[in-house]
Amino acid sequence: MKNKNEEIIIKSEEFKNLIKKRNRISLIFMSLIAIIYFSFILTIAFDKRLFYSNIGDTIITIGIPIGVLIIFSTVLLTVIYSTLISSNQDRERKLILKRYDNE
Amino acid sequence: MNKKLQSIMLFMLSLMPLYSYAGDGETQPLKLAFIGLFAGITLLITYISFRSTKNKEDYYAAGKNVSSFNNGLALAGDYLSAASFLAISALVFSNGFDGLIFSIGWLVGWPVLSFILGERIKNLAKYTWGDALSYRFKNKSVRVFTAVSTLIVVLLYIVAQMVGAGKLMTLFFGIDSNYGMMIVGFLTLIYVAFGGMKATTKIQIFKAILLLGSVSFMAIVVLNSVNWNPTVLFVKATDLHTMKDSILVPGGYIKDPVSAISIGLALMFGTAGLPHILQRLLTVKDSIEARKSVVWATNWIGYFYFLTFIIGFGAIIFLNQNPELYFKGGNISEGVIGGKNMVAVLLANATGGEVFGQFVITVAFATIIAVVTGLTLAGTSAIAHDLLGENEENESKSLIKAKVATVAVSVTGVGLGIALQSLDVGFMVTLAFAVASSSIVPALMMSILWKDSTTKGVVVGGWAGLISSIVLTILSPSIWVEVLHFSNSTVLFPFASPTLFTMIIAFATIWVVSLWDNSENAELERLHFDKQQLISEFGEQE
Repeated sequence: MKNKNEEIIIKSEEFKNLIKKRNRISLIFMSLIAIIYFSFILTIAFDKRLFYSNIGDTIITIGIPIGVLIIFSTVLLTVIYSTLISSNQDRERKLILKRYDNE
Repeated sequence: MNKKLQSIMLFMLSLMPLYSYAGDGETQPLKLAFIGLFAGITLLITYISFRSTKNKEDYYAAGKNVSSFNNGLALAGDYLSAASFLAISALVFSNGFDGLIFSIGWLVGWPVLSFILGERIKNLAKYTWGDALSYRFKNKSVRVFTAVSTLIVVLLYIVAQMVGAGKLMTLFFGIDSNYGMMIVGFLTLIYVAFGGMKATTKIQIFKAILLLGSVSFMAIVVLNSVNWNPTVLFVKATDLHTMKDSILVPGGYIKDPVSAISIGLALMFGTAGLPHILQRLLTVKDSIEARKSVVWATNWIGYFYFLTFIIGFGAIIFLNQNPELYFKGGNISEGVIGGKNMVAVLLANATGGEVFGQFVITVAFATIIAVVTGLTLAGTSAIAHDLLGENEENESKSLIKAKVATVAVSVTGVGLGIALQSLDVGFMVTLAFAVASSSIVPALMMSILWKDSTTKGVVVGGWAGLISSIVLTILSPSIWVEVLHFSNSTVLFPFASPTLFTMIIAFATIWVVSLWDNSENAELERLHFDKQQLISEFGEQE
C-alpha cells in the first residue's frame, strides 16, 4: 500500500462503511454476551431460588440446563461472529485494497 | 560459543532435576517414567526450536507461521491452568452447581477478546501488546507502562502457579515445596531462554492435547457408567452426596450483587488483557488466522469446562461409592485422600486404574509447567522488547538480552513463590485479572477505538487503573483479613473484586486527561488515528 493510496482509502466511503459495520457487529455481539452472562449471575445474586424449580418430574433443576446452555451459547456466539465477519468483511476488505491499488 | 556446545550444555543442565528425582526413595518408578518422558519430549522440543530460532521474529512470535488450529490449541494450553483442572473439578465435587458458575466465568472472556480487540491488536503489533499501544503513542512512558503492567500481571499469575506447583509437588512426589518450585522454574527457564515462542507454542499444544485427552477419557467413562443419561448421573450423585439435592442449585459462591458484577467484569474483560494470550495472537500470519485461532481456543475451552462439570459429578459417584478406597480412613466426612485438589487424580484412578492415575498426575504437572512457560515468555518480552528496546543492527545481541530477561523473570517468580507460599494466594489471580481488565484493556480499547485519546491520557489512565486495583485489593477482605489478619470489622473495601470501580476509574481518567490534553503532540497523535485505523483493519501491506 503506497502512501498516496492510504490517504485515498481512508477518505473513501467503502472504508468508512466497513469500519462502521464492523463496530456495529462488535457492539451487538458484546451486548449479547454481556446480557446472557450478567443476567445469569445477577439472577443468582438477587434471587437464586429462581433456579430451584425442577424440570418436569425429574430431579434436575432448571439452573443446570441454563448453565450448560450458557457455555454452549458462548462458544456459538464466537463461531457466529467469526463466520459473519469472514463472510462479508474479509471479501470487502480485499475489494477495497484491489480497487485502490490499481489507481 | 557455538550452537552445538550451547545445546550440549543445555541438555546436561536440564537433566539435573531428573537426577534429584531418582534420589528420592518415595517416588514410584511409574511416576518417574512419565515425568521423565514429559521432560525428555519437552526438552527435545526446546532443542529443535532452539536450532531453528534465528531472529527476533522466531524468538518472540514463532516466525509468525503457526496455523490457526495449532494456535487455538496453544491458546487453550496457555489459559487452562492446573487450577482450572484440579480446583474446578474439586469445586463441583464439593459444591456441585457453584462449580458451573465458576467455569462459566472463566469462559466468557474469550468472545470479548474476539469481538473487540483480538484482530486489531494482531494487525498493529509485532511482538507484544505494547507494540499495539505504541503504534500511535511513541513516547517512552508508554513502553514503561506496558512493561510494568505486563510484569505485574505475569508475576502475580506466576506466583499463584508456583505456590500451587510447590504444594502439588509435595503431594505428588513427596519432595519439599521449595525444591518443587525450583524445578518448575528451572525447566521453564530452559524452555523460554533457549526455545522462545517456538518451544513455548509446541509445549502448549502438547500439554493441551494431554489435558483435553485425559478429561475426555474420564468424561466418557463417567457418562458410560450412567448409560449416557444425565438424569441418572444427577440422581446417583445427589443420592451419594452429603448435601443431597442442594448440589443442583446455586450455593454460596455468588454473594452480593456488587461483587458479582465486579468479578464478572474482571473475568469478562481480563482475558482480553492477559499479556501472554495477546502475545500468542501474534504468532500467526494475519488477522484472519488470529480470529480463527481465538474461535478454536473458545471451542476447546468451552469443551473443557463442560467436561469438568461432568467429571466433578462423576467424581461424586465414583469416589463416594468406594469410600474405603478414596477417603481418609474410609470415612466420607474426613474428606478425600490427599486433600480436595486430588479429586481429579482419584477419579482418574477410579476410571482408568493406577497407570492412568499416574498419567493424570503427569498431566497436572505438565499443565503447570506449560502455563508458567507462557507467562515467563510474556514477562521476558516485556523486559527485553518493551522496556529495554531493540538493538536493530544486532539481532543476536537482542536475543542475548532476552535470555538475561528470562533469568530475571524466572528467578523473581521462584523467589516470590518461596517467600509467599505460606500466605493465602487466592487473591493473586483475581488481582491479575483486575489489573488486566482495568489497566491494559482500557488503554488498548481507548487507543484503538477513540480518535481523541492521547499518550498522556492513556498512560495516566492506565496507571490509575493499575494502582487503584492494587490498593482496593489490599483494602479488601482477600488481603486485609486473609493475608494481613486485620479484623473483619476494619475492612474498608468489602467487595470480592475492585474491577467495577477500577474499570470506571481507568476509562474516565483516560477520557478526561485526553480531552484536556491540548499539547502539540496530542494533536499529532489525533491526526495519526486514521492511519492507525487503516492498519488495524488491513495490517501492514507489502
